[in-house]
Amino acid sequence: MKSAKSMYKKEKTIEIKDLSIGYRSKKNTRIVAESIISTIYSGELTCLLGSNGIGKSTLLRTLTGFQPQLVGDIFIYNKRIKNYSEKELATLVSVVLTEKFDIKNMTSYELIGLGRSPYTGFWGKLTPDDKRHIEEAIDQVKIKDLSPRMVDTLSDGERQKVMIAKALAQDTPIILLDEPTAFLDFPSKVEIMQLLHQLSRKTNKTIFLSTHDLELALQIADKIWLMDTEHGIQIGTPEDLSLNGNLSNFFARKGIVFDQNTGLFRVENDFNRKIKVSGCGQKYAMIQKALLRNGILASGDIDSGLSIDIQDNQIVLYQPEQKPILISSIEELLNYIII
Amino acid sequence: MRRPAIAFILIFISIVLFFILNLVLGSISIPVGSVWNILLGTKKEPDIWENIIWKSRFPQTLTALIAGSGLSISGLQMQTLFRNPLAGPSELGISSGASLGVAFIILLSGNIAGTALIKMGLFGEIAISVAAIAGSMAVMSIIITISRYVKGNVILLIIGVMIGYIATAIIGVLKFFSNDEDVRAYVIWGLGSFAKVSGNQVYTFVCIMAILIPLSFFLIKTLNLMLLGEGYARNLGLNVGRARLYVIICSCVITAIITAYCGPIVFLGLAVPHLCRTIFVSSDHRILMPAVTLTGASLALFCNLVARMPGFEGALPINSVTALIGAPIVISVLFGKRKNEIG
Repeated sequence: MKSAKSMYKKEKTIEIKDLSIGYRSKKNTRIVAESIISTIYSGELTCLLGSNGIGKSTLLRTLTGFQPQLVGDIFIYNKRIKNYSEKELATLVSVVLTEKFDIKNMTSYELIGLGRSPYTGFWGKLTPDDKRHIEEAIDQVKIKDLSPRMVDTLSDGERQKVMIAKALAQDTPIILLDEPTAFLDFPSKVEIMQLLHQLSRKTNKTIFLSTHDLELALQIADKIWLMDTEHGIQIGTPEDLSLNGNLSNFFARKGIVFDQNTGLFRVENDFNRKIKVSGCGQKYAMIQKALLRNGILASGDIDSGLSIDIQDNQIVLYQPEQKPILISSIEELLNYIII
Repeated sequence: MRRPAIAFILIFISIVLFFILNLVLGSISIPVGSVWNILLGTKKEPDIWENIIWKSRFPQTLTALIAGSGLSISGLQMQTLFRNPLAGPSELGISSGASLGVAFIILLSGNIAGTALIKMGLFGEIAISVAAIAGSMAVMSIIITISRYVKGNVILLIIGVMIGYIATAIIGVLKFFSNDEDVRAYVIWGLGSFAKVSGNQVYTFVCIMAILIPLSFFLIKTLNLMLLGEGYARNLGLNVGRARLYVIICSCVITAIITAYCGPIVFLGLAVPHLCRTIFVSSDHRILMPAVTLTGASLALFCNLVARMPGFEGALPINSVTALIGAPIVISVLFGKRKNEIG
């Protein structure tokens, strides 16, 4: 990655100055968020986090130029977004949206090819140069096998990758994605996020996305935008946000604990019973986790009648006035302990 | 050779074949050689044959060809615009709107001007065309306005059907207040036929359509972008509002003019785009536009041929034939889909 970094310079691509977003109708104005001041840089993956209905999509729509801003300004490369024509914007910002389309009889290649529309002529015919861009996009997302497939046969994850390839083919310095990981299974979520992160590094593109997958975002994003009604938008690296307590405030809800050590969230389980467990390593951690889920705290220095000893190749359960039992799986162990 | 190329050639051959058959077959059969002579004027054939060809069969065949192309183009544009496989000129009430416009002109002309407009020649023709365009545009703008607020395609379609009913009801009221001659003229117009366009009218019709059909090809790239939906289309540099308007105007004017001349023709505009998507396995309008233009022409010629089959003596209304052929096509296409998208 070092060589990639030295190739490019990190530069300001989007500057937001005192922006208020929302909807304006004849009768009233509904402000979704106000006084947003921020900068988005190239070569970075920025994730926008916030609960449903907080205005993530509105912000994205405003950044795309789909929706007029209420107050303030958005600058792309030091020029007001309003002053760009639709054609110019199409070569600067590409999007991956949540809206689903139902197209029959179109191959992924053709769909990605439509990403070249801002550059093609009157009939939309692809030139060799356009085709080179399409091939490149397909390579970068590694979907060579998908390109001849019809888009209506793709799974959600595959479709998302094709749409990302479309955005790449559009050859814009900025890519905005609205919840690209929604509806995907966990491995696909990870794959998409890693792909976007790598792309931001390799291509020096500015990649900005909204998501609900905070665990992933905290691990992969370069910058996090936290959006809520109380504080507006707070911005920083995931690490800074966890050090200054913003993250824990943000997700301060019952049942969620922000683990300051790992910088990640975990589900908080109450316990009503303690058991002595001795041992170490992964097996220990797993047994501790399984017990906690069942309201039992595992600890090395408690004197409980019941105790568990974890050794390299076996788990032994000691019960008062009974013979020790060899345990082969955690499920079996739980069956003994939980009555 | 690639599949589209073969399909194009076959469809083109079918057009030529059906065109000739349309001239040859009928209540009186005229040999191919004589038809050839009459068309080129190389050799004198019996007067009655010349009259049949020039006054009846040739204009009718030409009308069927052009109307089939136009309605299919209009249907394709609407299906892409609404992203709805059931959209079509007659399904969304566009034809009903045109009918209503025409009804106003034909049925009220007797009351206002004292003469049946249908007898008034060129002025009447223009009036009917304008009325049809105005009527279809009115319906289309209602549909477009509603489509902004209504998300579901099915609801939109139901609204289209309802508008059709309302138009029919108003036409019913108009008929009640009109004189018999006008009602008769309207009823005959309403049956739909490629045969009504006679004499010089056909050349006006052909000229107008010869401008409109090529113009509709200018919207190919726009339509391809519209496939992706409003958001993506806009992000790819399309001025969605303007593009929508162009497509609506184009498809409305084509439908309205065909309806004005031929009466409401059902199912061609709905069925042909589906047929083409299946034959050409493509959603690319660069292929689909020429494909529907040719397939529409071919299918319309075939329907006209069936309607004129010896035995029916021209008594079979063209709409019965287009429905009998078109409906099974639509049904089979909808059943053949992997995923049903109507909902």
